[in-house]
Amino acid sequence: MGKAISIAKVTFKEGIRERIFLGVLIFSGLLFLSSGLLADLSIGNILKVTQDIGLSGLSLLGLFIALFLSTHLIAKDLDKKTIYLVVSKPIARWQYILGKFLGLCFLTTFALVLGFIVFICALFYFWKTSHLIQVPHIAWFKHLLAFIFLNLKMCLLVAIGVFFSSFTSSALVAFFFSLLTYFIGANLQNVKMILASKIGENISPILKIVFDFTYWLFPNLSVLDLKQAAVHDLPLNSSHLGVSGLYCLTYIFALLFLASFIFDKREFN
Amino acid sequence: MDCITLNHLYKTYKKGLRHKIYAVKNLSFSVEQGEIFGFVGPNGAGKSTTIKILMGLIFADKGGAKLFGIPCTHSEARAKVGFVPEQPVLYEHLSGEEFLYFAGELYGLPKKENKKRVWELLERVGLKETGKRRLRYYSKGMLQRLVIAQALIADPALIIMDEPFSGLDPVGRMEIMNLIKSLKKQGKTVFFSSHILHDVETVCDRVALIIKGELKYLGRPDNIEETFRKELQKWARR
Repeated sequence: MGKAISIAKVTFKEGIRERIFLGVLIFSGLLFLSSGLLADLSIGNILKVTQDIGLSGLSLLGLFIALFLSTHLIAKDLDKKTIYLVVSKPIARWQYILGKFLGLCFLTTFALVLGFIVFICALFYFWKTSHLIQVPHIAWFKHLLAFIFLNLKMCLLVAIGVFFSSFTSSALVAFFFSLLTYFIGANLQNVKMILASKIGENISPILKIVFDFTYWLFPNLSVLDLKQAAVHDLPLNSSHLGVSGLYCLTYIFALLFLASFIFDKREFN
Repeated sequence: MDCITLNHLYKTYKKGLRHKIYAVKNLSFSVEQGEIFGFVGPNGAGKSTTIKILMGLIFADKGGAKLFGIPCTHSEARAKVGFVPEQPVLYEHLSGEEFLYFAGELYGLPKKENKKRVWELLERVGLKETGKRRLRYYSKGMLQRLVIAQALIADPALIIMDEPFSGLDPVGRMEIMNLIKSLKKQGKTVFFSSHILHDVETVCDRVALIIKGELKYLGRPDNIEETFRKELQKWARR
């Protein structure tokens, strides 16, 4: 485990010193700070719109860092052959995979924590200086929960990125597959609801079987999305949260196991 | 115990859909402790393939490759081995010190000893002044020296080098030769590949000559240039 931690530390350092990481952080910071201005232009409750934009921005920041860096940093190791100096040491291949995953998770968490602090500060400022006649209640704790689950979701995306990078040589291919998985995973629940409604009655059984297969194969990311619950202060079921968290961790474990298995057979020419 | 044992080693690469080409064919020899062993052959002879098999980067199709009696596919086999790859490509955002420390961690060195070794080696390879500088600002020669330092971080019994003289000027080549000699004095075993026969003849105790993946000569390096020329002619006539 110690060697995996060493790889994680180096991955974190490499990632944080990448220019693209700084660029994404600056872009996100500007997005959060301007969320109040954007909300001013919209129709409806300014604070709710601010929360919506802020949490969506946070999600976008995490998505970009998790997917882009997870595929980019591993592909860079393979492409530039830096991996020779790591794999030729007395370490097992699974330690490399675990180390990369942990490092990228630290990196994503670090970026998200920074983004969350900026977002909460901006939200607090707009809340305190609000000119609304009836200042709405903000569910601060649910925002924290939404942030924790967003972080879990991003760790799952990192695992997806690591998984695709374990057998592809191109960062672009791994990024594309990971992004596709994200879009499928984020929309599974909506499609399921459509199929369960009256519209679903007219859909062919073969298509339903294909969907069932997809539903079980791809991660259902919407169970980790607590944005609406945080913004609209909707009730949350603790057992549901527990199961969702466990589902996410199990999925991560399965992906890392598969990635390690594939990587163990991979040759570095 | 032998440091390196190759036993009827085979490795093929696919060429097209049906054809296979042999990168290494029935290669067998061993390297004893304390010797400087040169692994020579023309470009595409299978030298780097053999080294990659030894370092666990690729896998043999058939036959055995062992380091200190442990199959190369096991990570423990590389515990007493330092590796210098042909291309000195490192993590460009790390400093020299950080990279060496990382290499030490991968060998499982204790923190205190690792820190001490890092600065000892930076001094030994003449990079003490630039130890804190990021690797992206290092020259090729500096990177080459750092790659050698990382191979020595855990004080290995065996050092494997892939074309250590390639791309170096005469001064750089001389430095590497002196390093190899000093390693021998310390009782280390050095196994390196090269196609510069003069250097091999000067520094090696024994050599193995391979052409198209097959072992053509194994023994003392005297007259290696002549042997190499004859073997190449024989191969060309076929």
